Amino acid sequence: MSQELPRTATGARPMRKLPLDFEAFHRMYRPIYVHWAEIRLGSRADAEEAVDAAFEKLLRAWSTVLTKENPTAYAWRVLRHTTIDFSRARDRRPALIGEAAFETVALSQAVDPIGQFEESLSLYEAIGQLPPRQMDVMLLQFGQGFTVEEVAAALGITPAGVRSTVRHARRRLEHAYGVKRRLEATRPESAAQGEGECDGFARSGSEEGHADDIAH
Amino acid sequence: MPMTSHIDELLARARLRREPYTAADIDAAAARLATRAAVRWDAPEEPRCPTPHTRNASAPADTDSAGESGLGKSPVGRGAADESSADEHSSGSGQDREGSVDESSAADDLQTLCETVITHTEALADLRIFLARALPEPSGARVLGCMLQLSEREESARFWWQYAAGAGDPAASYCLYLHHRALGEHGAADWWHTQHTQTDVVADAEAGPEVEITTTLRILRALKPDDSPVPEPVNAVLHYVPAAVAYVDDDLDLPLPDPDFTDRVRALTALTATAPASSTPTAPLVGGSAEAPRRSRKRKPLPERRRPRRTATGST
Repeated sequence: MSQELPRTATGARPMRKLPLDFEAFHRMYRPIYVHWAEIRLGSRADAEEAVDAAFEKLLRAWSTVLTKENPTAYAWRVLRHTTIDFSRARDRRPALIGEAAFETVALSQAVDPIGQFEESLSLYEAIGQLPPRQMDVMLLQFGQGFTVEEVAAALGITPAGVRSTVRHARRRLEHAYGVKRRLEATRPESAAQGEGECDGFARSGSEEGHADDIAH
Repeated sequence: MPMTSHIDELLARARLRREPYTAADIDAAAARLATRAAVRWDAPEEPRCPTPHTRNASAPADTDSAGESGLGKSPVGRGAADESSADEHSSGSGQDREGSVDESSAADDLQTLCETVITHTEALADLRIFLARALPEPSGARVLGCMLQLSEREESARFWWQYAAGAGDPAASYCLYLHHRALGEHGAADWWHTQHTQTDVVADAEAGPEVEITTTLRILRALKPDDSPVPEPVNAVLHYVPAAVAYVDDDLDLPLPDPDFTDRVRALTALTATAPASSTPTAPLVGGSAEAPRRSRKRKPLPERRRPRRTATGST
């Protein structure tokens, strides 16, 4: 298999230029693509590979891509699909997103690194359970700190769509945490969910109190 | 909203250290792509060339012998990963192509299906009665979903398809199937496909199996000239809909139509159908019940539409 590389490589002409519009598209979106794929795959190098593969697909079908109603959204789908295949090919499951917990800014500054790590781990795992679109938006906006507008542009949806997706995602996370908490704190929680969220939050981990200390 | 605070704090602490991505990184990537493209264009039948990152060069070994190789990153946790595990390797190009064709053709099929739905003769009628009853009508919800999809409001489109599909509208299930397939959400796509085939049992006899749906859609697409005109009433509604359906309420995260939605739709369709030269379809239509009702097949008047909206949302 690896012998095939030289064979094709010898046939390669000197580098062909990329179409101008493709080049511009690539330049515009590559960074956010890579940052997203980085979380999905756990490393910059893997992210580069997956993003290369996605852009290669787009390049090969570039003229078709441009005829799409929404080329950006289409390109994002290609990216996502390619990246997920890539991670499957390496036996990686979405749970890998939890590894992002090693990389938080908060961890590098934490007084209690273990507690912070556990917090982020459980949060990223919860994000990993969200439906794909919600997961993407949360990872980009909160993990990587892109603005709503940047996220919207990259995904080919409206900023309002992003905001709404975030609201949905946040609600799901709240629900997930609320359930966990109720399981932990066996006391019945008769209060409406909305009121319960704020007070006396017992974290899911065994270090009860840690998250609260920061939170309050 | 007190309920957001805790999650917000967690999220605030979830920010990752972002290793910057530089212009040089982009240039290098562009150069890689250009090279790869040149190779691929010269030898299109070759398998995807291994990428420049050398780590990948070791990977093919574990495709050939997935089970035995010590290289395999982790033990057998394959399962569902199996079907794509060979992806970027030997069978890579074939499989990739298939995968992406699948998605992109799902997107194309969905486009065609939506165009077909909204240009269908009954579409506007469906939409006119959409909110006229106690609950939004499934067929109108399906049409609305298709219009939103064509207006690139796919999140809202999905919501209304889900509503319609939940009420047993098989076309909406099929839209959802294509929608998720096009997004690469294969699990959801498969699920909706199952739903579709189930809801469609009755219709199956006449409609034929699913292969024929895709075939039909492709034939339709082939037959359709690129600039085939959309009937004027449909066009008018199509321009109105995306502006009229919005997330109106922070508490209620549903893409709801404006309160006067049905009036406006009736007005738009009635105007264009019965009195083409009449006034502009913008400002004065709020009172559309006054000028539209000619064609509006004696449904109930719409004064209590606000209530149905609530009910509808409660039911989903």
